[in-house]
Amino acid sequence: MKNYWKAAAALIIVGAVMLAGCSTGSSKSASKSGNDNGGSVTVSVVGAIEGFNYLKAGSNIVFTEQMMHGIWPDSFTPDPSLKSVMNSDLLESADLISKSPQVVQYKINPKASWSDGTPISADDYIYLWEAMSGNKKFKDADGSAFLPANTSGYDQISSVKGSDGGKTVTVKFSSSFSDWKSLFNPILPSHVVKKVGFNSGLDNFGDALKVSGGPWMADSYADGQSFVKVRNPKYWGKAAGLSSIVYRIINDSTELASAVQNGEIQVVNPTNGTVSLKDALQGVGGFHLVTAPSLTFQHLDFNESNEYLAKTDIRRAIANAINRNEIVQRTVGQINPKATTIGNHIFLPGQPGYVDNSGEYGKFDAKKAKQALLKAGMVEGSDGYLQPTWGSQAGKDFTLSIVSASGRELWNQIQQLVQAQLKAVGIKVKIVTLTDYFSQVQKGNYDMATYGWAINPYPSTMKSVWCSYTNAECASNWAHYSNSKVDALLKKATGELDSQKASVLYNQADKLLWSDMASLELYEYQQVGGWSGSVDIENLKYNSSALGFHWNDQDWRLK
Amino acid sequence: MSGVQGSGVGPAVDEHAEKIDAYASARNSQIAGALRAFARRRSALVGLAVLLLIIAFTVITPFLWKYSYSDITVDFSAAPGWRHPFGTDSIGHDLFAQTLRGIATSLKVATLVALLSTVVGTVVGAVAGYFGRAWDAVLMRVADLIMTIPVLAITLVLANVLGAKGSSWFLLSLVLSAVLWIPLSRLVRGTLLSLMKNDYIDAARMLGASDRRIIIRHLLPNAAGPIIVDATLMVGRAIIVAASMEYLGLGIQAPEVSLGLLIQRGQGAATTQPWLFGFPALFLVLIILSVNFVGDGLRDALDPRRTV
Amino acid sequence: MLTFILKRIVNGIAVVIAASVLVFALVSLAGDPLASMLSSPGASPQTVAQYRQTLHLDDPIMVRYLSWVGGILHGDLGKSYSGQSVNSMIFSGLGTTLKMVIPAAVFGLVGAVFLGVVGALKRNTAVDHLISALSYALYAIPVFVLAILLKGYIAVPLNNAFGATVLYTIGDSTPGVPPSLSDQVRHAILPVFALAVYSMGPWSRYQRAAMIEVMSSEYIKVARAKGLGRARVVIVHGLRNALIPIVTIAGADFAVIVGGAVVTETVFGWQGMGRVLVDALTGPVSPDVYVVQGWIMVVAIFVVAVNILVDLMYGVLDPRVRR
Repeated sequence: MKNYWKAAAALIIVGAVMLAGCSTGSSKSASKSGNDNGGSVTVSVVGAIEGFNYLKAGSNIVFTEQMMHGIWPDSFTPDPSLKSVMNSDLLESADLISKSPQVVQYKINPKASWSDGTPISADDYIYLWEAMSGNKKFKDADGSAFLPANTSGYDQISSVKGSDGGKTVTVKFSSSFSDWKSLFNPILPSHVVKKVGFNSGLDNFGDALKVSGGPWMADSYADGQSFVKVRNPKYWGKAAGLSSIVYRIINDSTELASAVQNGEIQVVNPTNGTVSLKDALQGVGGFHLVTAPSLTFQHLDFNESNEYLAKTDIRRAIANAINRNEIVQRTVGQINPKATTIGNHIFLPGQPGYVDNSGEYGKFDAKKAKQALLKAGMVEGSDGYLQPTWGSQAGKDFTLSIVSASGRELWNQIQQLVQAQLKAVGIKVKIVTLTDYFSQVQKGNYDMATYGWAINPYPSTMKSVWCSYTNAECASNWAHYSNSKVDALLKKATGELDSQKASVLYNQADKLLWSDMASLELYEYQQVGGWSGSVDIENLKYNSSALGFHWNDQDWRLK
Repeated sequence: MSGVQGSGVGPAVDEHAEKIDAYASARNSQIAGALRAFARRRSALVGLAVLLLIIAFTVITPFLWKYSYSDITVDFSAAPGWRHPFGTDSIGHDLFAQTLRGIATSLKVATLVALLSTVVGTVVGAVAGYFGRAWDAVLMRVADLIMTIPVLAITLVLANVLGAKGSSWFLLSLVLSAVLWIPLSRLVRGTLLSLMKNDYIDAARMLGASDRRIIIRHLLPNAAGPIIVDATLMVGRAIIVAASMEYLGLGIQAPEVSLGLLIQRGQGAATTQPWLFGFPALFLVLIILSVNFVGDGLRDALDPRRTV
Repeated sequence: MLTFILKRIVNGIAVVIAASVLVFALVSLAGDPLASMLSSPGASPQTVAQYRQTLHLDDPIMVRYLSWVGGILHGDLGKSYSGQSVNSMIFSGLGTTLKMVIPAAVFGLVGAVFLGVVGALKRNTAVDHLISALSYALYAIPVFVLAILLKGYIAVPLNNAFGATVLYTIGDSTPGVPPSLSDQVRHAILPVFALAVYSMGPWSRYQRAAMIEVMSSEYIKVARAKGLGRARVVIVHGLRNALIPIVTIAGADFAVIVGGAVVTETVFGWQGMGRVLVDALTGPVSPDVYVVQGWIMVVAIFVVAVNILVDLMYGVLDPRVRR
């Protein structure tokens, strides 16, 4: 019998050696050979593809935007300091030519053209506005209404007109919109999308996607597995540094560390990480770890339709009972030691308008919290929990639910930390994790909830979260918060074209949001990513906007 | 069936009664023999001992240990040491307490699933096997369903649907039982069909025993062997399916703990902090292994063909 | 035989229809797939309402189900809620999964037969005990635990030792390069091993038992008495008859292997059927009833087909069944 085992072992070894022999050309580093070959890197993306048109509701996923970056051209791109920089390959100029009414004029580079030879023109701007406006009078290819993921700004445009042979675009607003640079990022090839349809023509990979107006061109897609973009040979501007970028789509970030160690992935696209992901990547020899904040923040939401949480005093007391520093220390602080609590509902640290407005409202003071709760009509029960003397929980232990999504490790950890911290002041917290968590929150089936808001560098997007829930446009205010002063300030701020003045207005609104304790802001998400020691990539730099590493992916170069 | 008994059949009745008694006493000696056979299998005994030790350990230790699974301790992301033998997770849970809780949850789920699906499976299987026809047809179609679609797929769909209502070990047990009773009911049905060919069943019928009595007094005790074995192995199966679901992010959710959930959270750092994943994985494997040893021991012991 | 197969097919269709009605009702009632759309600030509620209308989410479930049935009668499994063709998702996923499941089933079977036969022939020796212990251990290690160990403690050290990527830990092939067999094999070794080993444990126990029974039967004794060589008796007479039960069991277990593949794919990052299902249940736009439906349909049809194939093989192996 021994012989069988020996034979089997020998077979396995021979097989392994043969396979290793076959592996010439798949060395552990990225390949680069020849002069015009810039080489290729493999980048990991975690998640699922839900279509390529990330401007459409339902397909609006951050990593799709990153993958497609440089295929459809942006008018403005945020740089690492989050300043919007004009894409000078696409545009010669983009100027605010009138403040009241607001008029913006874009001059398109005469050389700019789509890879199929059609010039990039005002038609593309007009089409994008129509698709994104949310206005039902504009129809998609099949006659149905467009389904844009985000209408903010586009819904304030009254007209987009072309002149000068289509190379000048004049955009007129019905009311001023300070973040006009957030618009037309990107523009789509209207002559193609008009035919295949905005809503469904770009969901599956096909020829429609291969029309490029940027340094990159979509090359191939293997269903759910990988996406390849290559240099656009027809690009009129500076050619991309690499000849291709290969995106390896994976299911779960826990697969990353061994894949990097194995040379299967060179660049780990920054992703909302966990402590164990950071530890695992740090353990990979030679790995250049990048941990940095993203423009997404975690917060504790108070549902003001709850009779107790409707009282500002009680919300403030809960906020004081929560030790935000401890939450940071035990969660994202272990990913990035620089992570801190945040003090603003509209700007995040690193953005020009950011000011810490939290003051006394964001300070941990359990004693003060307890006193405030006693003052608000609670009495101490025999088991250490407070009992309200009024309302539906009168005479019972004061209990609040904290709702979050199942399977989200960091969110679930915050639930547990909040539970422990509020127990110390006598509030019983019931943890609820749900698979259809978002629909329950939107229906208002919660007392407290914790989740993240992903914001882009443009503060106007937060308006729909903080303006009074009674307004139809405030679609993301599920907490039943309302303050007409905040509404007025936000309205004024989004219409203020001077960004300095707009910041002042936004911060005035934020001070009210803190004193009303509309929601307790916790921390910025920390992203975990980096690149393998086996490749030396120039110009790979993180940017806390949604583009992450990809804001300058056309400049990546292998040394 | 009724109407056969009357004055003229006295001796025959006695004879049958004797025969039935003989079956009963044979059954008793069978049980004794089975126990002896089980005791002779060292692997089964070891399995049973390990299982009982683990259960005792998880029941008793939480009373002695200074941390509860839900305590958030001052140490976080600590490696194993004197204060925390299994280390702590990133927010400060003591992983020793969490692992104990995880074992308890996994065992609770598995036991409840084994109980529920055995009861339901036995009842349905017995009804189908004994009464046949429509009952049987329906049962067999349902059983086909389960043989056609992977159990994990069904439980994932169910867990996702029920997950909208929250998550608990009880809910998870219901989801697993909803699927796992079916193979058992097939087994019971098959066993009953073959048992019904025996003449002592006809005898009992002639004695005027009701259907219920025949099933409960005569058929099921004789089918008990395969049922017990399958119920035991079901514990192992339920643990694996539950852990797989938790691994995929459905099923038990924090703050509740289960072995699958602990493994899922620890796997990302399997090489850098192996204890996060290693201890729960070790206990998971140990439990399944000992349950299977016990199950196989029972199978041998209860095998009618066993040579004494 | 033919009527038997026809009966199996009719049964299979009935089962698939019942499953589809049940699953459609369950998944349609679970959660709001479009809820997450509003989670990015700036999304307009009118758009989401519009989207709901486009997807007919407000229609009665019966109407939606019938329109889906209308589609599948034309071979169209419909579109996912975010617009991808379910056909292409599932068939691409199926191709990937089969690259794992079929080798795993074959290796599992071959390994189980080998271990079972050796165990039976060396009954009650150290070798037999070793194999028994091994098969128990293999069955007790959940596939994801084994997979994590394989990745971290086999693949990485091995690749470091060779200084090149010999075994891959994610995906079924290297993206962006022309497909090659060697590349695919090196991607498949670990997942196939993990999946094969999971079934090998119990199967080898069955094989051992079957082999012991066959070898102690009269006709083997007769064959031996006729002076036939041991190897010939074992292989031609013993093994052939002992294969019948294990082929049946392997066929019946095919759905179990596919279930195991759902987990294995997740650990090794294969974008196969398992991921299609898990994403449809937990992805950004979920639960996606059409994807889940398509999945159940295709897997059920596949498993029924495999079971019929096994019945046919049973006929080949067992001359008594052949008519």
